Amino acid sequence: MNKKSITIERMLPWLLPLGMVLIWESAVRLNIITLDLLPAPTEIFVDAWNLLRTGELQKNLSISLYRATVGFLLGGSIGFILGVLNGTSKVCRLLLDSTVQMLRNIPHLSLIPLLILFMGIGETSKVTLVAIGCLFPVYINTYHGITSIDPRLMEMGRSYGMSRVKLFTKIIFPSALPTILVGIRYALGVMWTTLIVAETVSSSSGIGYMANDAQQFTNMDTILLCIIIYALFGKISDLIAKNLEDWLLEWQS
Amino acid sequence: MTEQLLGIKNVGKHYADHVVLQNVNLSIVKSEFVSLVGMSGGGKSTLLRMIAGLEKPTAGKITQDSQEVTNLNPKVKMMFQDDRLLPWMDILHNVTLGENNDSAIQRALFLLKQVGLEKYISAYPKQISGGQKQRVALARALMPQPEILLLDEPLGALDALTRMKMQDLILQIWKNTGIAMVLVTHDINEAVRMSQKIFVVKDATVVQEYHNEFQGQMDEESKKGQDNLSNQITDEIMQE
Repeated sequence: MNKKSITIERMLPWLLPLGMVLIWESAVRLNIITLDLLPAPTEIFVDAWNLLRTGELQKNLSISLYRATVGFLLGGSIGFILGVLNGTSKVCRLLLDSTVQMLRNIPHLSLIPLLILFMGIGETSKVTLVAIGCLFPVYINTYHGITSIDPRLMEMGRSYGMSRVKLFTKIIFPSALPTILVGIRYALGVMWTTLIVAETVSSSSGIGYMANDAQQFTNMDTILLCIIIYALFGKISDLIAKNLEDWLLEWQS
Repeated sequence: MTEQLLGIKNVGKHYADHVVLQNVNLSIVKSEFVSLVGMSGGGKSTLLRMIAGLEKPTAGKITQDSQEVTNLNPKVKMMFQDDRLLPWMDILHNVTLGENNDSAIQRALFLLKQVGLEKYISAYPKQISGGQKQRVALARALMPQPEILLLDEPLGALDALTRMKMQDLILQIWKNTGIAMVLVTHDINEAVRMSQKIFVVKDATVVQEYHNEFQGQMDEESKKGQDNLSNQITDEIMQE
């Protein structure tokens, strides 16, 4: 594939969003849509600039990123560890899987009032909610990845005298990795959805709080800015996950 | 008399009511090349797995160097019908099974050269052919310098030409290393071409043992001898 084709391939995904932004800007400028109902993209950009100058945007961005990252790492780690335990140990599976499956079926957003009661409206409840949201996709995919390993490869490993640790690091984990990474990508989507809700319901900082606060003053610029920020966060985190996948699973291509 | 390497005495294997093997008796001496032939489901692969220590006999005992095989047998390595290469490792690391120390890498490079794959060390299994994958599997089996190499129909999935080339390669390696080899195959001609002794497995036991003076020979006279032996073995298997 030549350089020109690669460039075109990289540009194509951005054509539609850019096109939509141009149409939107034109629609507002031509008064097809009123400014009060839907501000133009340039107005949103100006609002973003103002918020950057006051430092409010950075402050709220960083707190949202902190909650998302810590929650994802916490929930993802627990989901991964549980998935590995239940996937590799029959005793653990019998002890824990049933309970995990029961808990998985509780819509995690319904736990908000409970978490607020137990943990208050501070960072702990938000991070915990994000962690719970991320835990189950990672758990399910890790468990599935590990239990779906080709038994012939395991037999080969055992016949070559591999220890349990080597069986895990050389065969089980690499084999399960594609499935685990799918779980991580899914968990990243859940992470943002959960964060939006957590920050909208009970928060005094973060992007969700900014949107909520803007709503009270009918500040459409800021509301839309927050939505765009969430979309960009989601896209960037998915890109990171995709690149990680491409790097770790180079052998597949 | 050449020293006995592997002794199989009154070995049996059953699963619930199903008898896979019973009263199997055979012995293999150092550096010997033997084959097990018979109908599908006759227990040949099960016998190989018991020699490897992957399964335990329900009767009798298997000894190697006078020591009973009760668990995984470290002096034996097995080549399966499918290559069982790890898709996420390149060819070199498939042979070393992920080890990166100098001695493992050097030995793997040596073995890959023996099997004619020295140019493919950075390739992944996906990038090479079925025959090449089996050659990698062969190199991997030779890595720990086993006393016995068990070959469970490793050439079954290959086309005729590749199969012949692999037969030549295995024979060459056998001659160079002196490792005893036990080959399970459905192809009686293959067994006759490659082995010094052929055991016929039938009715869950070893019913006949044939000594093959024509092993590995390609002249006309030897080929006739091989054909005669193949016919004898086929008649033995097909006999009611």
